Amino acid sequence: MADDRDHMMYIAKENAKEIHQVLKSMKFKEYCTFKACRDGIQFVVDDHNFQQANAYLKTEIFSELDVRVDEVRLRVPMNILAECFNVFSGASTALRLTYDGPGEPLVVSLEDEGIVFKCSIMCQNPQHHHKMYDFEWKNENVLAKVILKPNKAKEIVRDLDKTSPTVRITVTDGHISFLTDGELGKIKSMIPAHSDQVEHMEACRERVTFSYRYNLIHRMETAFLASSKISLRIDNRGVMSTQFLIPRTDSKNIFIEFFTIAEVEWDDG
Amino acid sequence: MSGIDAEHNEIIFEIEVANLLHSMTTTNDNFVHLKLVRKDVDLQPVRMWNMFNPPNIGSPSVSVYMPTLKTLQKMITSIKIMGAKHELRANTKGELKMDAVLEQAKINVYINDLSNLTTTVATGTSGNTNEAPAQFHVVRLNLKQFHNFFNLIPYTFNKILMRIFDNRVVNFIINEADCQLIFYMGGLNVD
Repeated sequence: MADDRDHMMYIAKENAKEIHQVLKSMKFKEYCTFKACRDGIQFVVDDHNFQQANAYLKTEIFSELDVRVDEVRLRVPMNILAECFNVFSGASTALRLTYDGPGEPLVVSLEDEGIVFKCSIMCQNPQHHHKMYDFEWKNENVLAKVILKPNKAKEIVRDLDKTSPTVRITVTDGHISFLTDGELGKIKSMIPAHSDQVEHMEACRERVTFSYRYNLIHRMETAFLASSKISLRIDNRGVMSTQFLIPRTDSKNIFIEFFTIAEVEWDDG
Repeated sequence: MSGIDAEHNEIIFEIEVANLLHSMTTTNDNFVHLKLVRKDVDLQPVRMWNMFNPPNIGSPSVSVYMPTLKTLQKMITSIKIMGAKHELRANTKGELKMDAVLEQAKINVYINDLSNLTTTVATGTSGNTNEAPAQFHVVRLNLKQFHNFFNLIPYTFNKILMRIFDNRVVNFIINEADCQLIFYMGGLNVD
Protein backbone atom coordinates (compact mmCIF):
# COMPACT_ATOMS: atom_id res chain seq x y z
CA MET A 1 0.00 0.00 0.00
CA ALA A 2 1.35 3.43 -0.92
CA ASP A 3 1.79 5.54 2.18
CA ASP A 4 3.85 8.66 2.77
CA ARG A 5 4.84 7.51 6.30
CA ASP A 6 4.67 11.06 7.57
CA HIS A 7 2.23 10.45 10.41
CA MET A 8 2.14 11.09 14.13
CA MET A 9 1.66 7.36 14.47
CA TYR A 10 2.45 4.67 11.90
CA ILE A 11 2.09 0.99 12.76
CA ALA A 12 2.43 -1.92 10.35
CA LYS A 13 1.81 -5.61 10.89
CA GLU A 14 1.46 -8.75 8.81
CA ASN A 15 -1.42 -10.98 9.87
CA ALA A 16 -4.05 -8.58 11.09
CA LYS A 17 -6.30 -11.48 12.09
CA GLU A 18 -4.55 -11.79 15.47
CA ILE A 19 -5.81 -8.38 16.48
CA HIS A 20 -9.38 -9.38 15.67
CA GLN A 21 -9.01 -12.35 18.02
CA VAL A 22 -7.85 -10.02 20.79
CA LEU A 23 -10.61 -7.46 20.32
CA LYS A 24 -13.28 -10.15 20.03
CA SER A 25 -12.24 -11.37 23.48
CA MET A 26 -12.86 -7.99 25.12
CA LYS A 27 -15.77 -6.60 23.19
CA PHE A 28 -18.15 -6.00 26.11
CA LYS A 29 -18.57 -2.23 25.95
CA GLU A 30 -19.32 0.24 23.20
CA TYR A 31 -15.95 1.99 23.34
CA CYS A 32 -12.39 0.99 23.97
CA THR A 33 -9.35 3.11 24.75
CA PHE A 34 -6.53 2.67 22.29
CA LYS A 35 -3.06 3.59 23.53
CA ALA A 36 0.14 3.61 21.49
CA CYS A 37 3.67 4.43 22.53
CA ARG A 38 7.12 3.30 21.51
CA ASP A 39 6.76 0.14 23.63
CA GLY A 40 3.71 -1.07 21.74
CA ILE A 41 -0.05 -0.69 21.78
CA GLN A 42 -2.73 -1.37 24.33
CA PHE A 43 -6.49 -1.76 24.13
CA VAL A 44 -8.49 -1.09 27.31
CA VAL A 45 -12.19 -1.77 27.84
CA ASP A 46 -13.69 -0.64 31.12
CA ASP A 47 -17.23 -0.75 32.48
CA HIS A 48 -16.26 1.85 35.13
CA ASN A 49 -17.73 -0.26 37.90
CA PHE A 50 -16.62 -3.84 38.18
CA GLN A 51 -14.37 -4.90 35.36
CA GLN A 52 -11.58 -3.80 33.07
CA ALA A 53 -9.88 -5.67 30.25
CA ASN A 54 -6.45 -4.83 28.89
CA ALA A 55 -4.66 -6.25 25.88
CA TYR A 56 -0.96 -5.63 25.40
CA LEU A 57 0.77 -5.93 22.04
CA LYS A 58 4.45 -5.16 22.29
CA THR A 59 6.58 -3.47 19.63
CA GLU A 60 8.21 -6.77 18.63
CA ILE A 61 4.90 -8.05 17.28
CA PHE A 62 4.79 -5.35 14.62
CA SER A 63 6.89 -5.07 11.49
CA GLU A 64 6.99 -1.30 12.05
CA LEU A 65 5.97 0.91 14.93
CA ASP A 66 6.70 4.64 14.78
CA VAL A 67 5.04 6.86 17.39
CA ARG A 68 6.36 10.42 17.31
CA VAL A 69 4.78 11.59 20.56
CA ASP A 70 5.01 10.17 24.09
CA GLU A 71 1.61 8.54 23.79
CA VAL A 72 -1.36 8.43 21.47
CA ARG A 73 -4.58 7.85 23.41
CA LEU A 74 -7.94 7.60 21.67
CA ARG A 75 -11.47 6.50 22.55
CA VAL A 76 -12.60 4.29 19.67
CA PRO A 77 -15.99 2.70 18.90
CA MET A 78 -15.38 -0.96 19.60
CA ASN A 79 -17.81 -2.51 17.12
CA ILE A 80 -16.26 -0.69 14.16
CA LEU A 81 -12.67 -1.26 15.28
CA ALA A 82 -13.11 -4.99 15.91
CA GLU A 83 -15.00 -5.54 12.66
CA CYS A 84 -12.27 -3.83 10.62
CA PHE A 85 -9.88 -6.63 11.55
CA ASN A 86 -12.45 -9.22 10.55
CA VAL A 87 -12.98 -7.99 6.99
CA PHE A 88 -10.61 -10.52 5.43
CA SER A 89 -10.40 -14.16 6.42
CA GLY A 90 -6.79 -14.88 5.42
CA ALA A 91 -3.76 -14.90 7.68
CA SER A 92 -1.79 -12.87 5.15
CA THR A 93 -3.75 -9.64 5.61
CA ALA A 94 -1.37 -6.69 5.88
CA LEU A 95 -2.31 -3.96 8.33
CA ARG A 96 -1.46 -0.27 8.56
CA LEU A 97 -2.65 1.90 11.47
CA THR A 98 -2.06 5.63 11.14
CA TYR A 99 -3.03 8.73 13.09
CA ASP A 100 -2.21 12.36 12.42
CA GLY A 101 -3.22 14.11 15.60
CA PRO A 102 -6.28 15.61 17.36
CA GLY A 103 -9.25 16.06 15.05
CA GLU A 104 -7.93 13.48 12.61
CA PRO A 105 -9.31 9.97 12.25
CA LEU A 106 -7.61 6.74 13.25
CA VAL A 107 -7.11 5.09 9.87
CA VAL A 108 -7.14 1.31 9.67
CA SER A 109 -5.95 0.03 6.28
CA LEU A 110 -5.90 -3.62 5.33
CA GLU A 111 -4.81 -5.30 2.15
CA ASP A 112 -5.39 -8.85 1.04
CA GLU A 113 -4.94 -10.30 -2.44
CA GLY A 114 -4.95 -6.92 -4.09
CA ILE A 115 -8.06 -5.61 -2.33
CA VAL A 116 -7.51 -2.52 -0.21
CA PHE A 117 -9.90 -1.80 2.66
CA LYS A 118 -9.59 1.50 4.50
CA CYS A 119 -11.64 2.64 7.46
CA SER A 120 -11.24 6.17 8.85
CA ILE A 121 -12.64 6.20 12.39
CA MET A 122 -13.48 9.45 14.17
CA CYS A 123 -12.31 9.03 17.75
CA GLN A 124 -12.87 10.89 20.97
CA ASN A 125 -10.46 12.17 23.56
CA PRO A 126 -10.69 9.66 26.42
CA GLN A 127 -9.90 12.32 29.00
CA HIS A 128 -13.23 13.96 28.29
CA HIS A 129 -14.98 10.84 29.49
CA HIS A 130 -14.69 8.59 32.50
CA LYS A 131 -11.21 8.20 33.90
CA MET A 132 -9.67 4.77 33.62
CA TYR A 133 -9.94 2.91 36.91
CA ASP A 134 -6.63 2.06 38.55
CA PHE A 135 -7.00 -1.23 40.36
CA GLU A 136 -3.78 -0.58 42.35
CA TRP A 137 -2.78 -4.17 41.91
CA LYS A 138 0.15 -5.25 44.11
CA ASN A 139 1.70 -8.69 43.81
CA GLU A 140 2.45 -8.80 47.53
CA ASN A 141 -1.30 -8.74 48.27
CA VAL A 142 -2.04 -11.84 46.19
CA LEU A 143 -3.74 -14.54 48.26
CA ALA A 144 -4.24 -17.17 45.56
CA LYS A 145 -2.55 -17.99 42.30
CA VAL A 146 -3.53 -20.65 39.78
CA ILE A 147 -2.05 -21.33 36.33
CA LEU A 148 -4.20 -23.54 34.14
CA LYS A 149 -4.35 -25.06 30.72
CA PRO A 150 -7.57 -23.89 29.05
CA ASN A 151 -9.19 -27.22 28.09
CA LYS A 152 -11.20 -27.87 31.24
CA ALA A 153 -11.47 -24.27 32.42
CA LYS A 154 -13.16 -23.08 29.24
CA GLU A 155 -15.75 -25.86 29.45
CA ILE A 156 -16.48 -24.94 33.05
CA VAL A 157 -16.94 -21.27 32.23
CA ARG A 158 -19.05 -22.09 29.18
CA ASP A 159 -21.33 -24.40 31.17
CA LEU A 160 -21.88 -22.15 34.21
CA ASP A 161 -25.54 -21.88 35.20
CA LYS A 162 -26.78 -18.65 33.61
CA THR A 163 -29.56 -18.32 36.16
CA SER A 164 -27.11 -17.95 39.04
CA PRO A 165 -26.49 -14.27 39.87
CA THR A 166 -22.97 -15.00 41.08
CA VAL A 167 -20.12 -17.48 40.72
CA ARG A 168 -18.19 -18.28 43.87
CA ILE A 169 -14.55 -19.06 43.09
CA THR A 170 -12.64 -20.93 45.79
CA VAL A 171 -8.93 -21.71 45.76
CA THR A 172 -7.10 -23.96 48.20
CA ASP A 173 -3.77 -25.74 47.85
CA GLY A 174 -5.76 -28.77 46.71
CA HIS A 175 -8.26 -27.45 44.18
CA ILE A 176 -10.00 -24.57 42.43
CA SER A 177 -13.79 -24.65 42.31
CA PHE A 178 -16.60 -22.66 40.70
CA LEU A 179 -19.94 -22.71 42.54
CA THR A 180 -23.24 -21.43 41.18
CA ASP A 181 -26.65 -21.32 42.89
CA GLY A 182 -29.45 -20.79 40.40
CA GLU A 183 -32.68 -22.39 39.20
CA LEU A 184 -30.85 -25.67 38.69
CA GLY A 185 -29.72 -25.69 42.32
CA LYS A 186 -26.15 -25.57 43.61
CA ILE A 187 -23.61 -26.75 41.06
CA LYS A 188 -19.90 -27.00 41.82
CA SER A 189 -17.20 -27.61 39.21
CA MET A 190 -13.77 -28.44 40.50
CA ILE A 191 -10.26 -28.88 39.12
CA PRO A 192 -7.96 -30.67 41.58
CA ALA A 193 -4.35 -29.50 42.00
CA HIS A 194 -3.01 -32.84 40.76
CA SER A 195 -4.92 -32.54 37.44
CA ASP A 196 -2.77 -32.30 34.30
CA GLN A 197 -4.71 -29.09 33.58
CA VAL A 198 -3.01 -27.38 36.51
CA GLU A 199 0.52 -26.00 36.18
CA HIS A 200 0.53 -24.14 39.47
CA MET A 201 -1.87 -23.80 42.40
CA GLU A 202 -1.16 -21.86 45.56
CA ALA A 203 -3.27 -20.31 48.31
CA CYS A 204 -1.83 -18.20 51.13
CA ARG A 205 -4.75 -19.04 53.38
CA GLU A 206 -6.38 -22.39 53.95
CA ARG A 207 -9.22 -21.28 51.70
CA VAL A 208 -9.51 -18.18 49.49
CA THR A 209 -13.08 -17.63 48.34
CA PHE A 210 -14.89 -14.70 46.70
CA SER A 211 -18.08 -14.29 44.68
CA TYR A 212 -18.23 -12.54 41.31
CA ARG A 213 -21.26 -11.58 39.28
CA TYR A 214 -22.05 -14.22 36.66
CA ASN A 215 -22.10 -11.72 33.77
CA LEU A 216 -18.55 -10.58 34.61
CA ILE A 217 -17.24 -14.15 34.39
CA HIS A 218 -19.29 -14.72 31.24
CA ARG A 219 -17.60 -11.72 29.57
CA MET A 220 -14.33 -13.65 29.73
CA GLU A 221 -15.69 -16.72 27.95
CA THR A 222 -14.30 -15.76 24.54
CA ALA A 223 -10.88 -15.13 26.08
CA PHE A 224 -11.00 -18.56 27.76
CA LEU A 225 -11.75 -20.14 24.37
CA ALA A 226 -8.96 -18.27 22.58
CA SER A 227 -6.16 -18.76 25.09
CA SER A 228 -3.48 -21.41 25.44
CA LYS A 229 -2.79 -20.70 29.11
CA ILE A 230 -4.63 -18.90 31.92
CA SER A 231 -3.28 -17.28 35.07
CA LEU A 232 -5.82 -16.49 37.76
CA ARG A 233 -4.83 -14.46 40.84
CA ILE A 234 -6.97 -13.07 43.64
CA ASP A 235 -5.78 -10.42 46.07
CA ASN A 236 -6.81 -9.63 49.65
CA ARG A 237 -9.60 -7.31 48.43
CA GLY A 238 -11.11 -10.01 46.23
CA VAL A 239 -9.93 -8.32 43.04
CA MET A 240 -9.29 -11.08 40.52
CA SER A 241 -6.68 -10.73 37.81
CA THR A 242 -7.18 -13.20 34.97
CA GLN A 243 -4.45 -13.26 32.33
CA PHE A 244 -4.97 -15.05 29.03
CA LEU A 245 -2.06 -15.99 26.82
CA ILE A 246 -3.11 -15.82 23.17
CA PRO A 247 -1.11 -18.32 21.12
CA ARG A 248 0.96 -17.16 18.15
CA THR A 249 3.17 -18.94 15.66
CA ASP A 250 6.31 -17.32 17.08
CA SER A 251 7.29 -16.86 20.70
CA LYS A 252 6.26 -13.22 20.93
CA ASN A 253 3.19 -13.31 23.15
CA ILE A 254 -0.01 -11.38 23.32
CA PHE A 255 -1.71 -11.10 26.71
CA ILE A 256 -5.21 -10.11 27.65
CA GLU A 257 -5.76 -9.30 31.31
CA PHE A 258 -9.11 -8.84 33.04
CA PHE A 259 -9.47 -7.20 36.47
CA THR A 260 -12.73 -8.13 38.15
CA ILE A 261 -14.09 -6.81 41.45
CA ALA A 262 -15.66 -9.29 43.87
CA GLU A 263 -19.29 -9.18 44.94
CA VAL A 264 -19.14 -10.48 48.49
CA GLU A 265 -16.28 -11.64 50.69
CA TRP A 266 -16.77 -14.97 52.43
CA ASP A 267 -15.17 -15.49 55.85
CA ASP A 268 -13.15 -18.56 56.51
CA GLY A 269 -15.10 -19.20 59.69
CA MET B 1 -56.69 -21.94 -18.76
CA SER B 2 -55.20 -18.83 -17.11
CA GLY B 3 -51.46 -18.91 -16.53
CA ILE B 4 -50.77 -21.04 -19.58
CA ASP B 5 -49.61 -19.65 -22.92
CA ALA B 6 -49.54 -22.36 -25.55
CA GLU B 7 -48.20 -19.96 -28.18
CA HIS B 8 -44.98 -19.27 -26.22
CA ASN B 9 -44.98 -22.61 -24.46
CA GLU B 10 -44.86 -20.97 -21.06
CA ILE B 11 -46.58 -21.44 -17.74
CA ILE B 12 -46.29 -18.76 -15.07
CA PHE B 13 -47.31 -19.69 -11.57
CA GLU B 14 -46.86 -18.42 -8.06
CA ILE B 15 -45.72 -20.58 -5.18
CA GLU B 16 -44.78 -19.87 -1.58
CA VAL B 17 -41.00 -19.58 -1.34
CA ALA B 18 -40.86 -21.25 2.07
CA ASN B 19 -42.62 -24.35 0.74
CA LEU B 20 -40.35 -24.56 -2.28
CA LEU B 21 -37.22 -24.16 -0.18
CA HIS B 22 -38.37 -26.74 2.32
CA SER B 23 -39.06 -29.31 -0.35
CA MET B 24 -35.60 -28.74 -1.89
CA THR B 25 -33.69 -29.06 1.34
CA THR B 26 -35.38 -32.22 2.60
CA THR B 27 -34.06 -34.32 -0.26
CA ASN B 28 -30.60 -35.78 -0.64
CA ASP B 29 -31.06 -36.38 -4.36
CA ASN B 30 -29.24 -34.34 -7.01
CA PHE B 31 -32.33 -34.12 -9.20
CA VAL B 32 -35.74 -32.84 -8.24
CA HIS B 33 -38.81 -33.68 -10.22
CA LEU B 34 -41.48 -31.02 -10.25
CA LYS B 35 -45.06 -31.88 -10.97
CA LEU B 36 -47.46 -28.98 -11.31
CA VAL B 37 -50.82 -29.63 -9.77
CA ARG B 38 -53.22 -26.77 -10.04
CA LYS B 39 -54.34 -26.87 -6.41
CA ASP B 40 -50.72 -26.48 -5.13
CA VAL B 41 -49.81 -23.43 -7.20
CA ASP B 42 -51.51 -20.21 -8.25
CA LEU B 43 -51.49 -19.85 -12.02
CA GLN B 44 -50.95 -16.23 -13.00
CA PRO B 45 -53.32 -14.86 -15.63
CA VAL B 46 -51.69 -13.73 -18.88
CA ARG B 47 -52.70 -10.10 -18.34
CA MET B 48 -50.34 -9.98 -15.34
CA TRP B 49 -47.34 -11.51 -17.10
CA ASN B 50 -45.74 -8.16 -17.92
CA MET B 51 -45.11 -7.72 -14.23
CA PHE B 52 -42.66 -10.60 -14.35
CA ASN B 53 -40.58 -9.44 -17.30
CA PRO B 54 -37.10 -8.12 -16.58
CA PRO B 55 -37.22 -4.31 -16.38
CA ASN B 56 -36.35 -2.44 -19.56
CA ILE B 57 -33.52 -0.25 -18.38
CA GLY B 58 -31.30 0.14 -21.42
CA SER B 59 -27.64 -0.74 -21.73
CA PRO B 60 -25.33 -0.83 -18.74
CA SER B 61 -22.79 1.95 -18.22
CA VAL B 62 -20.26 -0.53 -16.96
CA SER B 63 -20.02 -4.32 -16.61
CA VAL B 64 -17.36 -5.91 -14.48
CA TYR B 65 -16.87 -9.27 -12.82
CA MET B 66 -16.87 -9.06 -9.04
CA PRO B 67 -13.97 -10.33 -6.90
CA THR B 68 -14.08 -13.83 -5.40
CA LEU B 69 -17.31 -14.53 -3.60
CA LYS B 70 -15.81 -15.68 -0.31
CA THR B 71 -13.79 -12.47 0.08
CA LEU B 72 -16.76 -10.35 -0.93
CA GLN B 73 -19.22 -12.02 1.42
CA LYS B 74 -16.95 -11.59 4.42
CA MET B 75 -16.25 -7.96 3.65
CA ILE B 76 -19.88 -7.03 3.05
CA THR B 77 -20.92 -8.81 6.25
CA SER B 78 -18.33 -6.86 8.25
CA ILE B 79 -19.41 -3.56 6.73
CA LYS B 80 -23.04 -4.37 7.45
CA ILE B 81 -22.22 -5.22 11.08
CA MET B 82 -20.65 -1.80 11.42
CA GLY B 83 -23.99 -0.33 10.32
CA ALA B 84 -23.21 1.53 7.12
CA LYS B 85 -24.87 2.92 4.00
CA HIS B 86 -23.20 1.69 0.85
CA GLU B 87 -22.09 3.07 -2.46
CA LEU B 88 -20.65 1.15 -5.38
CA ARG B 89 -18.53 2.75 -8.08
CA ALA B 90 -17.05 0.97 -11.05
CA ASN B 91 -15.27 2.08 -14.19
CA THR B 92 -14.36 0.49 -17.49
CA LYS B 93 -10.72 0.12 -16.46
CA GLY B 94 -11.70 -2.80 -14.25
CA GLU B 95 -11.60 -0.78 -11.05
CA LEU B 96 -14.25 -1.09 -8.37
CA LYS B 97 -14.69 1.11 -5.35
CA MET B 98 -17.08 0.45 -2.49
CA ASP B 99 -17.65 3.32 -0.12
CA ALA B 100 -19.69 3.17 3.03
CA VAL B 101 -20.59 5.85 5.53
CA LEU B 102 -21.24 5.37 9.21
CA GLU B 103 -21.96 7.87 11.95
CA GLN B 104 -18.40 7.64 13.30
CA ALA B 105 -16.39 6.34 10.39
CA LYS B 106 -16.13 6.06 6.64
CA ILE B 107 -14.99 3.05 4.70
CA ASN B 108 -13.29 2.92 1.32
CA VAL B 109 -12.58 -0.31 -0.51
CA TYR B 110 -10.56 -0.36 -3.70
CA ILE B 111 -10.30 -3.32 -6.04
CA ASN B 112 -8.61 -3.31 -9.39
CA ASP B 113 -7.73 -5.67 -12.17
CA LEU B 114 -11.30 -6.91 -12.55
CA SER B 115 -12.41 -8.50 -15.79
CA ASN B 116 -14.32 -5.85 -17.65
CA LEU B 117 -17.09 -6.61 -20.12
CA THR B 118 -18.18 -3.06 -20.88
CA THR B 119 -18.43 -2.47 -24.66
CA THR B 120 -16.70 0.56 -26.19
CA VAL B 121 -20.11 1.90 -27.16
CA ALA B 122 -21.80 1.88 -23.77
CA THR B 123 -24.25 4.65 -24.43
CA GLY B 124 -27.31 3.70 -22.37
CA THR B 125 -29.43 6.71 -21.68
CA SER B 126 -26.44 8.93 -21.04
CA GLY B 127 -25.53 8.89 -24.72
CA ASN B 128 -21.91 9.56 -23.87
CA THR B 129 -19.61 7.82 -26.32
CA ASN B 130 -16.62 9.95 -25.32
CA GLU B 131 -16.51 8.79 -21.75
CA ALA B 132 -13.05 8.26 -20.27
CA PRO B 133 -12.35 4.70 -19.08
CA ALA B 134 -11.35 6.04 -15.68
CA GLN B 135 -14.72 7.69 -15.09
CA PHE B 136 -16.62 5.94 -12.34
CA HIS B 137 -20.29 5.06 -12.56
CA VAL B 138 -21.98 5.16 -9.21
CA VAL B 139 -24.96 3.47 -7.64
CA ARG B 140 -25.99 3.85 -4.00
CA LEU B 141 -27.40 0.69 -2.51
CA ASN B 142 -29.38 -0.53 0.46
CA LEU B 143 -26.68 -2.45 2.32
CA LYS B 144 -29.10 -4.88 3.90
CA GLN B 145 -30.45 -5.99 0.51
CA PHE B 146 -26.95 -6.08 -0.93
CA HIS B 147 -25.76 -8.22 1.96
CA ASN B 148 -28.80 -10.51 1.88
CA PHE B 149 -28.26 -11.30 -1.79
CA PHE B 150 -24.54 -11.98 -1.57
CA ASN B 151 -24.86 -13.93 1.63
CA LEU B 152 -27.15 -16.46 0.06
CA ILE B 153 -24.99 -17.32 -2.93
CA PRO B 154 -23.17 -20.64 -2.53
CA TYR B 155 -19.40 -20.56 -3.03
CA THR B 156 -19.78 -22.80 -6.08
CA PHE B 157 -21.21 -19.80 -7.95
CA ASN B 158 -18.04 -17.80 -8.19
CA LYS B 159 -18.30 -15.65 -11.30
CA ILE B 160 -20.69 -12.78 -10.68
CA LEU B 161 -21.11 -10.07 -13.29
CA MET B 162 -22.13 -6.65 -12.03
CA ARG B 163 -23.71 -4.12 -14.38
CA ILE B 164 -24.42 -0.54 -13.37
CA PHE B 165 -27.14 1.22 -15.35
CA ASP B 166 -26.65 4.92 -15.59
CA ASN B 167 -26.36 5.38 -11.79
CA ARG B 168 -29.94 4.16 -11.21
CA VAL B 169 -29.98 0.40 -11.10
CA VAL B 170 -27.44 -2.35 -10.63
CA ASN B 171 -27.89 -5.94 -11.57
CA PHE B 172 -25.86 -9.02 -10.79
CA ILE B 173 -25.78 -11.97 -13.16
CA ILE B 174 -24.59 -15.44 -12.33
CA ASN B 175 -24.36 -17.89 -15.22
CA GLU B 176 -24.14 -21.55 -14.44
CA ALA B 177 -24.32 -24.52 -16.78
CA ASP B 178 -28.06 -25.02 -16.51
CA CYS B 179 -29.41 -21.79 -15.12
CA GLN B 180 -28.97 -18.07 -14.91
CA LEU B 181 -29.66 -15.95 -11.85
CA ILE B 182 -30.26 -12.24 -12.34
CA PHE B 183 -30.77 -9.93 -9.39
CA TYR B 184 -31.87 -6.33 -9.88
CA MET B 185 -31.40 -3.69 -7.23
CA GLY B 186 -32.67 -0.18 -7.55
CA GLY B 187 -30.32 2.53 -6.39
CA LEU B 188 -31.19 4.85 -3.53
CA ASN B 189 -31.77 8.50 -4.35
CA VAL B 190 -28.64 10.60 -4.10
CA ASP B 191 -29.01 13.20 -1.32
